[in-house]
Amino acid sequence: MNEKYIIADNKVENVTADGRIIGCQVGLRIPYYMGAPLSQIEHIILKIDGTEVCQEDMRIITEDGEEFKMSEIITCYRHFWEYGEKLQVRVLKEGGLSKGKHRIDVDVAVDVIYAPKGFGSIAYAEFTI
Amino acid sequence: MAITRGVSLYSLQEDYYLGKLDIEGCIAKTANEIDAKGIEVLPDQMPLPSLRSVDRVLSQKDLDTWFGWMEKYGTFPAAFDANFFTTMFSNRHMSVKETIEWTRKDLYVAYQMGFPVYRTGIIRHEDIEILSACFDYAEELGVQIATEVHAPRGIHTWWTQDFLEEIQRKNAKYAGFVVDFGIFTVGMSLSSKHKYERAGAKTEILEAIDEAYRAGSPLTDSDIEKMGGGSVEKEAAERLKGAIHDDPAWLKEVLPYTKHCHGKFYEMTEECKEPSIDYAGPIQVMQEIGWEGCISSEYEGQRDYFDIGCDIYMDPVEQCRRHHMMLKRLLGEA
Repeated sequence: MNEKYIIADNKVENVTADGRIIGCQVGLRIPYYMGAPLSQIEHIILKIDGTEVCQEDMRIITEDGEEFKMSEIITCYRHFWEYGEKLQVRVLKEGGLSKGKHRIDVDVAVDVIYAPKGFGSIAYAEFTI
Repeated sequence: MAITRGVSLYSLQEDYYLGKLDIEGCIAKTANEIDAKGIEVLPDQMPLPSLRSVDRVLSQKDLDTWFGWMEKYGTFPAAFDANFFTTMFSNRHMSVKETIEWTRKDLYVAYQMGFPVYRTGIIRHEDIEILSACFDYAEELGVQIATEVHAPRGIHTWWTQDFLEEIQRKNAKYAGFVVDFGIFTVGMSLSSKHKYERAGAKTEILEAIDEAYRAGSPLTDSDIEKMGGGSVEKEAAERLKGAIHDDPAWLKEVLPYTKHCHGKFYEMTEECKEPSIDYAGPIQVMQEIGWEGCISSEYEGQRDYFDIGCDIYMDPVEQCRRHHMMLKRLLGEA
């Protein structure tokens, strides 16, 4: 659900730290009608220009600035992905994305007791760096 | 008190999701533009900040803000929509004990916010056990536990009947139902029709699907194929088959236990009509038996416009305003 709003502002941006580009980052809105703890996330799968991003290279950055690996979020029941919040998902990639046109594909879902397949969305955006 | 009118802020979800309205903005729109006074909230959709505190108890500061809004806009708390589905962890469901603890916490938040009704739901058989274990606490707080009668959980299904039996067995005074008007679905909604038209469905086939549903004999996949329809038309028919059309007369069985109603709607016409749901029939029954409570608008058709590439924005305030024009007419206010 919420397909057209999942990828916030339809953009991905490179992230700089200590003067060098360490990766890129996208804001995702929740594919549900409420906020949910990060521990309720079933999956976040990203493809950039057709290539799936390795889960180990992804980080979730919470609104209060905490950073978690995908393998850690099952324990993050105190951190909420609020309804409407642009949850920051970072992809670690030395040098980031090259200048020019790109495409991101997102498959994201939260697990919900009454929905056997969870609540999810498949969305994509074309953007320019 | 007769039948009052309210808005579930769920109706304004798109504007909140996009950061165009905050909770106060939603309440202001309800009072000033929709002309309704009852406020229903899904606290896990639009939380007051302290809801996310470790103990999930609201701070006095947040409560002062909340009651300040009620006073400022002349509104009243109508129903608290619980996150009764909380899975919490993606690899397991909460246990019965954990869910009872969670429900008690939420009942307390509903009490703090002055809500007379705690809207929840029954999915599994054990949910009846969970809610029943909270009946005494609800009575202590003066908050009604009300499970939703919502498709596919119609009036004559076990979800409703078994809970009714439990209420009667325990002679519970603080347990009952929220009736969702979606159980009186008579045909395809305009939002659904428009969604499938955008996906390439033929209008005349969608109209045939609608007509057949209204006549009580839904089209099969092979009927649709014979008409030249494909997967999109079949999906439209399948979605409509998931709707239910209970007889409004059955309401008499549950209205004595009904604490609140959801005025579900998908899309109002400019003439302030909702062609897919029967409102006149159920409201007539409610008035006949003198039901008292609040009907809250629950606008849901906006989601049919959330597909990628669709640039249509349905103004939820205008949709709710039209919904209340209809309610006023049916309730004899206009």
